[in-house]
Amino acid sequence: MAIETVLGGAWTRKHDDPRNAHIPTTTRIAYPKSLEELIEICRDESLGRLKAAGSHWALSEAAISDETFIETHDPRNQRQAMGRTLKDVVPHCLHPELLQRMSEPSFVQEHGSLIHVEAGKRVYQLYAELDQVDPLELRPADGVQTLGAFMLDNFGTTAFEGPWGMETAGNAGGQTIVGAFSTGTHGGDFDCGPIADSVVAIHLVADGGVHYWIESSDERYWPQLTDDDRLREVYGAAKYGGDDNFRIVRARDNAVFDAAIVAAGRFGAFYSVVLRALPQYARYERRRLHVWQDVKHQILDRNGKIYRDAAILPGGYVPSTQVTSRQRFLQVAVSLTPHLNFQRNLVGVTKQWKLQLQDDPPGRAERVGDLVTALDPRLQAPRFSNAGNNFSYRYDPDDPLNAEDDPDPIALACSKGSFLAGIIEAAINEIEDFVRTNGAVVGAGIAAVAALGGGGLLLLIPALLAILIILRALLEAFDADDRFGEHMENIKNSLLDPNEPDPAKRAAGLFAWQLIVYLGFRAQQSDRDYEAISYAVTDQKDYRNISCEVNVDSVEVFFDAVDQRLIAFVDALLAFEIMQEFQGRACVGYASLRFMGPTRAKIGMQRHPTTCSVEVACLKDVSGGQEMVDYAARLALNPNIGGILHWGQHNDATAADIERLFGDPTSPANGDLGAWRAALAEVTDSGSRDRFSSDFTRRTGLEP
Amino acid sequence: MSETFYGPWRVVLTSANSHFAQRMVITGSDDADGEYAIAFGQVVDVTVSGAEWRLETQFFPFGGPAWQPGDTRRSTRFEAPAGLVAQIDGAARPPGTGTTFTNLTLVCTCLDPETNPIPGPNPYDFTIPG
Repeated sequence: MAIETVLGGAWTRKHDDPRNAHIPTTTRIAYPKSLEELIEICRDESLGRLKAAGSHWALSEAAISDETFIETHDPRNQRQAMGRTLKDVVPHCLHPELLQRMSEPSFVQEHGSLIHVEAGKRVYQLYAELDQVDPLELRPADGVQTLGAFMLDNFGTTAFEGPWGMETAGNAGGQTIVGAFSTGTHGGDFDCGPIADSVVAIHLVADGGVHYWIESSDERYWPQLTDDDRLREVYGAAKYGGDDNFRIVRARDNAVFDAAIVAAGRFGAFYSVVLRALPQYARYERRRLHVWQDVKHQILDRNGKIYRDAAILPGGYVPSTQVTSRQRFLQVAVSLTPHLNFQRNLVGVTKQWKLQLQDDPPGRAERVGDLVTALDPRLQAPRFSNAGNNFSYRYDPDDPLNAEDDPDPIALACSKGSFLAGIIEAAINEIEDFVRTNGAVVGAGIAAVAALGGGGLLLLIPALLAILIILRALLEAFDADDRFGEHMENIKNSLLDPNEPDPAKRAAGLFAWQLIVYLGFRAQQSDRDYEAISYAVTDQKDYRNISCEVNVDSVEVFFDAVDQRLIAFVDALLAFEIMQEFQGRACVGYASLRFMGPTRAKIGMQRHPTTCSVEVACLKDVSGGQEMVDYAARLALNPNIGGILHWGQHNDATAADIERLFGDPTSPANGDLGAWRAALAEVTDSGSRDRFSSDFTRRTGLEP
Repeated sequence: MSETFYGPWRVVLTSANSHFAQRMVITGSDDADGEYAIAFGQVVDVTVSGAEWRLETQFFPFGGPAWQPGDTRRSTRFEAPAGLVAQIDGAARPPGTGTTFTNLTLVCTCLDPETNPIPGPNPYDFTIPG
């Protein structure tokens, strides 16, 4: 069998600088297309150390191999992905008693459905497929019934025809599903854990080519998910190395399962995963602009209104269908740039509620669209016109049940590479009015960035005149082909020149910078109420973006949501930004707080009843951004702060950090890390099969 | 119950009010281990460093027979210009046996410059009349 392989190719991550490959020359990149090929790669010791990667979204080194890279989904979409939806296990290997239980009317409402997919399926493809109604073909062309058809054929129920949705999801769907859950990726739904907690079985190929079906012992799937004999018929086949090469792991304590689901690739390469899906639903989102200093203390009160707001308020938006949950989502996006004379920071507070699905759900056409082809050879799955191929969903403010005909320029900013022009123009107008009237006319932006009670800004009027000239020149020189970060670096360099000898001009430049960022953040996080199908609300990624999300770095830090160190951490970031601005640097970015329930994963970051993640993202083109991310990462790892870093983002943790955060101080054999290491030892012959070890796993102590 | 700290900190007693004798015990530090008396009017201002060290409050019950660990509540904040601050409020009673902590207050300020990005005095005046 010839496995498609590239020798010496470059390897880069999605958010790296497109001008420079992260790894210019690799030993080898392998592109398996099937379980058979994946087993062969893991068996072939001549390939040296291995590591599987998905869509290259991880900003950590977790997906970087010492030698051979295994691609489950070519990030450039030029080769065939391992992207099939599989039907041989779900339904045909499910345990007969479970199938009987699934036929009961209450099962779907309580536990949803199941879907089995290969590791390289992207999240947007998964939600697009889940959202289709199964035609329930009892005699399909390939001879293998879907779960829906099987349940109709054998139990006379149409309850499994769909459509289905994911219980939770991150705010971008371009990751592969395995890449997302195996690094602990999450949404902002504080009533459930991260995506990993929707996984009920994984199919893992370990070093040496032995493959493991590892399933969760879960009372929802009592007496057990799959039937051993049927599984062995499928995966004990000679082409997969025979029955001796296939192991089923199902234990009451779920020790291996809970360790392997979040493992940064150390256990081996996932071939496939079985996930739980819910009956499709819609979400209602409400966003309001507030001030961090007013909101922050509410976060520490888990019973407070910020978590338990009513969906329908007097005089407010009324969703078109029934609200079916309490508030379940919370995000607090903090502007790092201060206003009110350095004393306040804007925040956008976003809340969501679950809704009954509308008859014609908003967002379905825009985020999934029409079926283009039933089987795309590269996806190994149906291709939909808009899945992973459109702007983020934008509702029409005048008609919230429909999409905007002509999405506004700010929304399309990054795809056009010139969205700043409108913001700069607004800033120019405000400064012009202020200067022309000698301070008598104060626009809303200036009134917010300055504080009342003094005349400091009046003294800057001559310097502001000079700044106006600079801003007009920047506007005229705008090149729509430049990246957003390059624009911002130009603006920052023009306004925050630390070598500017005139203190008044330095002050005026900084004021104009804060005004621009204030106006931009206010526009992007303005009040809104809308409803749409689940994925159109959770996946806000603009897939036509060509500008904003390259050369980006980010760090995500996890805290107990009711621990005051969470607030101290964010306040320290805000102080760092003020210090930077005093020194002529600035971060173009944000700190986004999202909230989630606990995970079952042994080394998952969600270790508290309610965990809050703080994502700090920056454009590396702008000096001050990388410094902010580096500071946030350092501060997080300071044991006095006690933050946990995301496995899939900027992660400088050492083995000592991981032992402190996940281990048991009394003995390394105890605690969650001890359990994780013991499980790893089980699938690596006590560590002797170590080809999935990498620089990253050795540095972080993810070793047996 | 002892509170664990990492790196250099300054520990200052800001209030003490108890019928019992109280003290603070530091262990595991580079060179500040020891017992420090806590009483109204007492000055406690000590710089403690060390990779990982512990601070415990203790009280001496009427009739003894020995010093007992005190109850503490730790709160953390970041405030300019001090930086990272951990406040230990204590009570002269066994740990976990009450909800008020009014017998002592220790304000601990992190001295690690890497942790504390202190901006310094604001050189700008972005104010408008009003």
